Amino acid sequence: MQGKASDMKRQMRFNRLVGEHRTDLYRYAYWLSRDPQLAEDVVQDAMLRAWKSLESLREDQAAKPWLLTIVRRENARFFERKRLETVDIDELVGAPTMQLATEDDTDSDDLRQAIFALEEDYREPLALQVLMGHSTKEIASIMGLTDGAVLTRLHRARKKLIENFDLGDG
Amino acid sequence: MTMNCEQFEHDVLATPLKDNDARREHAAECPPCAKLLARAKKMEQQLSAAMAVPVPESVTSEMPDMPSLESVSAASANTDKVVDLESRRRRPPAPVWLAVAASVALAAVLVLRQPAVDEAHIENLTAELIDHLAPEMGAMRVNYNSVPRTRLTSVLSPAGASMQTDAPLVSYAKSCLINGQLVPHLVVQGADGPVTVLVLPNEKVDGPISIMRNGLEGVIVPVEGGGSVAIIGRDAASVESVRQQTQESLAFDI
Repeated sequence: MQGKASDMKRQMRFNRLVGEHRTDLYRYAYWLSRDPQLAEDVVQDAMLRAWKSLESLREDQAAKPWLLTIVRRENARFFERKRLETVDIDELVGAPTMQLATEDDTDSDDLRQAIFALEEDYREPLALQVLMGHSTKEIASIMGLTDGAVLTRLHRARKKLIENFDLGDG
Repeated sequence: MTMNCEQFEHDVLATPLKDNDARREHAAECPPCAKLLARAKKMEQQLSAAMAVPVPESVTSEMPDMPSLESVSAASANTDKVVDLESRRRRPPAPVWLAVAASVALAAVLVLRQPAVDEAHIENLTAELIDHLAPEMGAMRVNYNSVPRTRLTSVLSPAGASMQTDAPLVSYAKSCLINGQLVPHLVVQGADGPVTVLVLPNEKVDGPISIMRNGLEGVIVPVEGGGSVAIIGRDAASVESVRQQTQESLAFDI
């Protein structure tokens, strides 16, 4: 009886901490993997891993960066497995990403393609800043970089987007 | 602190929405940099809109009941090894009292968990399975790259299922939530085309049940160990071509 109550309490804590961040986790995974189907898989695997190691999260306020770190590792694991299978990742992610382009306006589609074209080193901090609203320090912590390195990557990311796309004009 | 144009550009493109005195002072004195600042702020709106991609319903739907920690641990433990049913059978026998206790517990679990097979239940079940397939039909395509064995194991283990190594080629494996249950969703490449295989640990059927819905055909068949498997394809021939092999290669450990 006590075990069942404890299980229920655990499930409720998990629902509360993870539930509100699922949209962010998916979008983060999407911009890391550049593929909607892979992003779903990564989030699902990340949720299972988070469920398994929920006790390691000491403070509830730290849930979001903790979850993002899990998503980041799951994504890396997936791509490592793919690398071992020697599948061409660009070929793999090419088709599904295009499916997204149908419902939105053309400008956003073009801009997404320009963001896809950025190297992951630049795309990831951009997603963490623009989508998640993380500070430079928080991004540095998640990515294991110095604050200066994060600022440089963010600057280069936007510079490349401006060069390749008429961003902010008009 | 004063700022030159190069520092201004670095600062603005790294953190466009930040505001400080040095940036304001420089922009007030330098029209090109003031223009860059305005452009950077507008760019943030465009970036924000473009990066907020649509989120699929499977992600935003109600939070699922997560599997037991034991099954998740088993999945992790099995991640790096191939399931070998023969070696499993060679394990030393457990004490008799433990076997008796386990049998009683298993019988109780099966009685509690197995729904009565009635027409309404089967109708609802097949509707849910076909509805679930609609957004993932893209996965049911010809693809001769098999998923890694570790991936297959990690998808099947939480459902208490395993697949022998001589199983048909599985090109897609994912844990899906159907009616609040984690269901392994596989795509198997058969001689007559790809078919979807949904492993249903909690659905016991006595014999084959045909499915014909939304232009798809399939069958739900019992699997060794108590559950069943739904095999669904675009036509009966593709389903039949993998049915026996899939049914024989799957087993439930519960």
